[in-house]
Amino acid sequence: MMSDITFGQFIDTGSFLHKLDPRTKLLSLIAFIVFVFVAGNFLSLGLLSIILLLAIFSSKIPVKMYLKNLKAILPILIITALLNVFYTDNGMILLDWWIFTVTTGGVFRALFMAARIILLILSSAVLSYTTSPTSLTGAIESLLKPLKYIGLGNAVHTMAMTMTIALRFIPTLIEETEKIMNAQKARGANLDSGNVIQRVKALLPILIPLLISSVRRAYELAEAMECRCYNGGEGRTKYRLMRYSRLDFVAAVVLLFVFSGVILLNIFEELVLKFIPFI
Amino acid sequence: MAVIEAKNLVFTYGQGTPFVTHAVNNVSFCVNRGEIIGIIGHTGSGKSTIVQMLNGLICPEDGVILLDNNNIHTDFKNLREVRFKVGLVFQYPEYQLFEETAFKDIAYGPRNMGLSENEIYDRVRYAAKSVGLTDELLEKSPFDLSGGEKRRVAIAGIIAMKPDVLVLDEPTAGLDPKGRDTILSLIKNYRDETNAAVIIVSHSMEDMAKTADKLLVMNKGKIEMFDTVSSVFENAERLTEIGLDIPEVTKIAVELNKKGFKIPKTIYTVADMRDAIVSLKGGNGL
Repeated sequence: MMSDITFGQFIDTGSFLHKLDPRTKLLSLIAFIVFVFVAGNFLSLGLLSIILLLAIFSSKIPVKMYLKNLKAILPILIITALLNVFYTDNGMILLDWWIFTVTTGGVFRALFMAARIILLILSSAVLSYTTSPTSLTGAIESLLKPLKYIGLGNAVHTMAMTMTIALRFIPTLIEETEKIMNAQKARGANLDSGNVIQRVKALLPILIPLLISSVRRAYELAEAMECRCYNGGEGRTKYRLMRYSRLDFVAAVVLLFVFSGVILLNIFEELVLKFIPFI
Repeated sequence: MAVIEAKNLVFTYGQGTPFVTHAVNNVSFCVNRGEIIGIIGHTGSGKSTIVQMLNGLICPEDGVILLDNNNIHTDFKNLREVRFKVGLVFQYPEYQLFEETAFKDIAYGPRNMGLSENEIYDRVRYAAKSVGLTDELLEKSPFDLSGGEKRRVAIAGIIAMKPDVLVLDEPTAGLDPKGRDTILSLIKNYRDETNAAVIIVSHSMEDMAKTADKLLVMNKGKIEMFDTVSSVFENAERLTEIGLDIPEVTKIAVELNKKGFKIPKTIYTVADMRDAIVSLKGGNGL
């Protein structure tokens, strides 16, 4: 039951997206998200969707996995769309009933907002499916390196190390929780009945041992790290070096074209629409 | 009379993925009152899965578990009742302690059973006595105790429920020899006092030779042997084949036997070995 929780949804299919440098992917995602908001009409948003679809298919990860993410945010999508439908009142009136007025402008706006959210979620999913959590923290550390010029070098390293350790121990903690739950169930713990207060009380025999073992584990890990002469980021080298390759260059150029396309489509929307008569 | 009986248990991990493992494959056995059964087997042979099935923590895909001839999944109001009767002590049970005092921790199980305060008090006393915890230790925080003491508190927590079947998963793991002997002898005492059935999972042949009446040898999810300790150790070759060890004394006995000395290969305790050697020299014990 709890082992179903996958954290960091990394699935290694060895596609070219997996081979990209994590820094490229992280920066691309940030830029992509910015441009999802820069895109001002359906044309430019469409261009972003095309490139995102290409990324999704080239990741070699079943489309079902991506759809699972959308299912999770369905309520948010619906609420956002509904709010936008009722709060916009330009364009043709489609429906006018009591205090609710639905206009074409409202419908367009609702669809537009929903599309934006879908793009945000799917693009983040591409990153988390194709990048392992550790290489992601490595990318963050590497990208934040310039902070050392304002004296924050060690802070960046510490933060990245903390994140890596936290990610590493999530599966361990889940396993530990399961073990303790089973041990207390064997002593007759009643976890799934009673009112709220009783249920919270019933959790104590699980939370306390879990907390204690986490602290113990932290001490042990800290000692083990010190025994191996860990003393922060100063002069520390990496086992897995991150190197930009030709792939990263290609990806960056493609994205630059796409992003300029978005800006052009924003500016010349009317002109383009003239050439596509059926819209 | 069999107090607990397993019939054709089947359990697979990773159903529907490429990594299907038959953790438990058609396993049947029964345990009588007053018996100590040792389950031995290599890592991943299905030992821990079996013991978690016995109290309903894992539901078998196929097969039934009968407790006093009642199916634990259909004939009881709920599984909690089964768990009070089949007390399971997990591996490293000291990590489950959580209360302010050892006393309160031992009382957790009996309290879940819904017993009266007096009854709880008696049971905690009884359990503490049977694992050799002094009154002074009972009032301490379980986190201030030594490793061996913590483990005894945890075992007392199960004994206080007075289970008909006491199941222990690797009860001696990580303890020093003295601590190991203490735990094993308190388990034996519990059996002697209550006539309960005891099931111990272990991979220490030495421990099992000292404690168990019968051994259940698991290999790759199946029962390899289920017999008295001496008959199991008679098959020393087969045991080594499936990656299990035999007690050092038995190894010596086997070697001496090969060299032509008239020493039975089934010896598994130092005392028996001493007697065998002495009788070989024509004496009659010390």
